[in-house]
Amino acid sequence: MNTAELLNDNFRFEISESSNKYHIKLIGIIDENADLSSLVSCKNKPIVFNFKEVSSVNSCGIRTWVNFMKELNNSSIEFVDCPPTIVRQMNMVPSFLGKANVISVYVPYVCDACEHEHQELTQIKDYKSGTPVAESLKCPNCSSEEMEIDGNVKQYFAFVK
Amino acid sequence: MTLPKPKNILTHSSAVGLFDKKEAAEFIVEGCRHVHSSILGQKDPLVKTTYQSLEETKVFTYSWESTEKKKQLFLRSSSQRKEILNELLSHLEVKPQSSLGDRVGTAFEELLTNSIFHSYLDTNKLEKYPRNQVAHLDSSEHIAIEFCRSNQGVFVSVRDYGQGLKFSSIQSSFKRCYSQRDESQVEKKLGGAGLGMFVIFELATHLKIVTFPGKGTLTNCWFAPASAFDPNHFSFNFFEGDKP
Repeated sequence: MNTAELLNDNFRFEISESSNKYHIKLIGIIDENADLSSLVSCKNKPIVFNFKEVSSVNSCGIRTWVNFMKELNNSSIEFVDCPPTIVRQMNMVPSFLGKANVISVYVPYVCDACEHEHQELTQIKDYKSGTPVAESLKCPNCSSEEMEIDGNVKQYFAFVK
Repeated sequence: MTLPKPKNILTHSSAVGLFDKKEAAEFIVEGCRHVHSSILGQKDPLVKTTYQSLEETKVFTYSWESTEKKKQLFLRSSSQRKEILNELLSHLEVKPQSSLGDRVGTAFEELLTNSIFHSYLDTNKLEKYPRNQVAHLDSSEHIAIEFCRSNQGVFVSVRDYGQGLKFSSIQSSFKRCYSQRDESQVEKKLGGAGLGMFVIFELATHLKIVTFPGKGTLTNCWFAPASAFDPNHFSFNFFEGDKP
């Protein structure tokens, strides 16, 4: 199965199925107009939500998502490729995450020299096993060694239980 | 870390130290109207500015608020929010998907939403504009937006002409959002999710609110750029003014 649904001008999702799981890719802005109700029918199988292309979430979008997670209640849910905007929601409003298992998040970096921004995909199992998150990287834009994590590692990963 | 106890300066309760936002919110819930978190503590120039002004019992002005380089926009309808946001980021030359653009854009949308829907009440003291309809503001209600950018960050100011935000509303919002880390953080009633001020406080580096009871609210936010962003360097200041 491979479907794409256009919900409104700012938000849509794509559903595919493999390994007996639904893979749902969310695209755009989660706000008061993001209608997730048709996704509730996916709760009969494990669901993997991919957030890579979610650009923003407003306060009404947080409520929409929290209510949606409640409807999925006992389903097996995984979050993958979470950008900083989703990590922020998980840290601010724990029920945004609900009982979902976070698999991977993007960690934001910014170059002190040229202000170039870069995001590095990090596996949560590595973080949990004690692999340190790099505090600094070489800037891919200006090759400076001054590309540092945008924020505080401990605070960024506060959602990890 | 041992937190310094909040101390009273004149009629205003204030706290200075090194906090995270949750700790600062707890001070606010307890009644602090001025909270500064900085590694420099009381030696921070912004803290000095604040305390000097409080001793003179006046609303202080940060340097970024008085710059002549500010630009202005007006919001006349709730349907303009996205358009105004895009215009703001374009003028500021901030990419929407950048760290700064994400923080400014998210907070700005909440500021506008608060201004339209919370500020203006009908004769029954209920929200004048229903959320499920486009709100066309009366000409006396147009929301004024000022903004500017420098190497040190972005300044955004939103001024409405509604009832005036009450300090107790911020306290109850922070109490719900910071002390209840479960589904009750999110309001279930019709209308907003009750997270707007919480989101703004989380994202802004410096947040200053001046309320004019019965005459409106001025909310000023300063956002540090990603390269200078430090989650433990921030401030919150709430004033009651009489003259808009």
